[in-house]
Amino acid sequence: MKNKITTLLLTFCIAVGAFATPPQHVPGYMGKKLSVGANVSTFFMFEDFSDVTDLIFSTRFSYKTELAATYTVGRRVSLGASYYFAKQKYTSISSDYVFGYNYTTVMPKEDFVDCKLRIVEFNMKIFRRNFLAPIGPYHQIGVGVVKYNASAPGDSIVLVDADSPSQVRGIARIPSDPYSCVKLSYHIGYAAPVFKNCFFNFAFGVNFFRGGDSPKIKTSITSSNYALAMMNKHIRRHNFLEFKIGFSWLAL
Amino acid sequence: MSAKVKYQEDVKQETKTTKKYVSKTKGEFLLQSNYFVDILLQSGKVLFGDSVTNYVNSVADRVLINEPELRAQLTFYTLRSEEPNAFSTDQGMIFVTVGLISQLENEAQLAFILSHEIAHYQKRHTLSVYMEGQRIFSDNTKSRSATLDDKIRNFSNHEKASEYQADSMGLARLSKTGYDCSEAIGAMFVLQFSHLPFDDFAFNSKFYERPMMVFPKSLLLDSIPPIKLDGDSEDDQYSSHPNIANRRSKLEDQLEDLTNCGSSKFASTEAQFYLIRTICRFEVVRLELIARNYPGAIYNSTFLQKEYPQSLYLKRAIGKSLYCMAKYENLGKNNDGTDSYHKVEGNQQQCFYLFQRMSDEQITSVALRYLYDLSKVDSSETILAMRNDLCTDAVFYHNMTMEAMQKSVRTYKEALADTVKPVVDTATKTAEVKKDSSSSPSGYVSKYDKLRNEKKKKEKKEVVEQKNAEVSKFHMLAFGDIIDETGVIRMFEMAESKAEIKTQAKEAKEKKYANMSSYEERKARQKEGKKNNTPTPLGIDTVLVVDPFYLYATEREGYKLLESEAGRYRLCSEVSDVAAAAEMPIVLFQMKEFEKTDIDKYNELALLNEWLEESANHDEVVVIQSETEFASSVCDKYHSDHIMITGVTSIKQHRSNRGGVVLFTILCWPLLPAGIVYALTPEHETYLITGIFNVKSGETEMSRVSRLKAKARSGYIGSQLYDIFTGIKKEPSSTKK
Repeated sequence: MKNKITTLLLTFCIAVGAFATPPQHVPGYMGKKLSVGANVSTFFMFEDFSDVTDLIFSTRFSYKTELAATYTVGRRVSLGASYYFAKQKYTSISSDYVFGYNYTTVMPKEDFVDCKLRIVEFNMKIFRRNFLAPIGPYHQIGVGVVKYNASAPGDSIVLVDADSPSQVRGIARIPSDPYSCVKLSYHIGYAAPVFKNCFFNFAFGVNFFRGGDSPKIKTSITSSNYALAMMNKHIRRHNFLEFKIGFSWLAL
Repeated sequence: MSAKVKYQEDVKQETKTTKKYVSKTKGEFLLQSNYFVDILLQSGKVLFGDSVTNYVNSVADRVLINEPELRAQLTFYTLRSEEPNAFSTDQGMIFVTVGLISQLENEAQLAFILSHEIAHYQKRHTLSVYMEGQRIFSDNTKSRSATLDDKIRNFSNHEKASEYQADSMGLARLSKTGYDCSEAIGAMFVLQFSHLPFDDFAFNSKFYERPMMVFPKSLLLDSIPPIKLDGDSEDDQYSSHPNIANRRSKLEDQLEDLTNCGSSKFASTEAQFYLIRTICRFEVVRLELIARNYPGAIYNSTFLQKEYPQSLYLKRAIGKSLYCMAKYENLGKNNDGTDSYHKVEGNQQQCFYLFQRMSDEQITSVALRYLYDLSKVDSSETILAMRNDLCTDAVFYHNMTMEAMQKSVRTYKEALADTVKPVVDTATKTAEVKKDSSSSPSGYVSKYDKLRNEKKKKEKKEVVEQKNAEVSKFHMLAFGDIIDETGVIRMFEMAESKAEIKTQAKEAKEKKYANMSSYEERKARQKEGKKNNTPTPLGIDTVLVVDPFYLYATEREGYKLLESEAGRYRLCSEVSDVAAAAEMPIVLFQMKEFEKTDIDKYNELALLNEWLEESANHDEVVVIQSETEFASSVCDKYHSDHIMITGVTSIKQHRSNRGGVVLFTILCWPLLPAGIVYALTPEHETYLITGIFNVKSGETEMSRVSRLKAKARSGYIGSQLYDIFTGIKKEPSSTKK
């Protein structure tokens, strides 16, 4: 798996390098080509809504933080690397112990699970005609590696029977080793300069989480892959679309 | 003081005077007049503190000698324009053009014109005409049924009434100054014929001929129609000004009632007036060159040469006119700055006809010979450059090589010798001798002898026709009398080598696209076009940035003048800051940057603006401009050959596809907020226009229009300017090698 990801990243970097060979004159912004910045990404979380009341009152937002560095390599092209981190709450079924007189029963209960998300992404921004990188409207494509896991090592998800949801079949422990997958993304955005060395960044984009550990889910759901399946489903729901806003500083 | 501040002060003053709030229309007028007067004052077209303006002010002092308070409110300026005109503004500025002063006969006529304009100011006619115009053309209630013709007629009636009133008040004021009041009628006469040159005299085309270069009769007019004397009573119902006949008649009526008129035509000395008029006439010649009225400039220069035969200024003006006419012909471009010969009146028609009828090789040879002769007495850089450039054109376009010209001269000389001993006679004589020798004593001529004779006659005739045809190519004989001069030989040697390079470049360009399909050619040209967006490396050390402009317009309200002015000032400081960041030394010519005492810099701005104006007039025609020597002097002072213009046009408009986007986002509901924001926010478009010109060669070395689909933020503008400054600073690759 790791080999596949490495190959993909390498291919991407070579393609980008070939495409973004600087022509003759790369001005950057006032001579500055390297920028560093921070963005936050957010969007509605797509839950299963049963009625309009749910839609209004149950709507929640996903959230991610991004630290980014971008270097201008052509008049209209810049390459960047980003590190995303987030703690996202995925709805899940956790266990609740019901204690009786002489018995203890595990009961399923809908709850949130705190999940850690780490993404390392390489991206390329292509700025619109007549604008000079790194400012102006742009298209961004990116590829990255996603690592996700429960934020606390002991977190568990209850495996319920598909035919009778109230029936608990077992408790799936979330492994300490994080799951991984590949992220492919496309954004359209806008870098608006403010002051002399800064610019605001706005972008709207779509993320696809592919490959990695997810093929394991295709086999039947067991207590060993159940946590992965649950998290994988939610990670896509939470991060499929995103609106990004941030601030960058032109360093060099 | 900016136009915004002046406008605010005017509004305050207006509110104080009328004790009413300033209406929207009046506010618009005050804003527009302040803005455009400011633009005019900053353009360099207005003369300050020079002898002509001082003279106009001294006449104004005399006209207003009894009205010191009114005098204090008024400022008189001379405007560099060849159009004969005068106008006043609501702010108390009165402008008189050099074109008008150059046409006047005496000081009293100038005094009447100033009195007329003072009356316009006193009665606030500019404001009332504007208000009336707004009322008539925007009134949707009373005159809804009125046609556009009716509206124009109503409006022009109001304007005409203002003119009559100003005439009447002007004459009344003139009568109190000691000037001859009848000169008001004289001023009307001047206005009627102000479209004519300074004087009407027979144009001598022989001045441009040379011993072997004689103009054929087809280049000269047989007769010249007389000047129309009855053109003063044309229909004026749609015109802003009454016709001259009506104005004169009203003034004559008023004159009869005036009893205490003076009789002085000149309050200052007569010589001073003529000196000022001559200065204006010299200036008009220069302005005609800028406006590309070349035959007009030649005609007026020829007139002035009668008084100043040794003037290099006038000789240069003629040389520059001939050069530019030849360049336009060689490049096959139409010069819309010059009227067709049948549209001009009087003897100048001959001058227009001569140069307009000449073919491209004829005008090239005439111009080249004139410039060559001129360069012997005036070795200025501009004249030499024009001479050499035109010589290259002569070789490149018309094959006027030294060898070809020498051959033509030989042919001409042979033909000349044959004219003394006519070829046909010799042929006849030879035939007769042959006839005598070949014929038998009985007088019988065989059919072979007859045919032989016929053949020989035909051959001789062909030779004569060929020689005559070669002689008629007078352009090849322009240098016939001096063909062996070292200067001529050297000039043509240089031109031939330059023409060779030009030919090779042309062939290479043609070859490049020769084997391509139309699709490939289009793609290749598109690619070249895209490359042009990258600033051309020019290796420029210093650049003179002339008067950056900024225009802001909205779809609903048109140009927003206050925002435009604020934007212009912002852009100027942006240019300075970015140039400093790019380590590009610039000299910024902008009125706001000047100190009050910066008269030199103001005059330099005027010269650079005039050079740019001429450059804009020439459009795609690459010529060494007539203003080059003046602009070059400014550039030399700042050690640069390059001037740069830059400006921003920003437009705010509604998005065209709002409905579609909202509908789409309703269907994809999570995107709805973005769709609403998209629909509610306007679309901005910004154009950054930049041009870099080489003053000495007249070439546009870089021209770029960047269309940015964004608001004109200083960051975007700065980013583009930085790119340009760093780009042009780089050495071109050929220099590097």
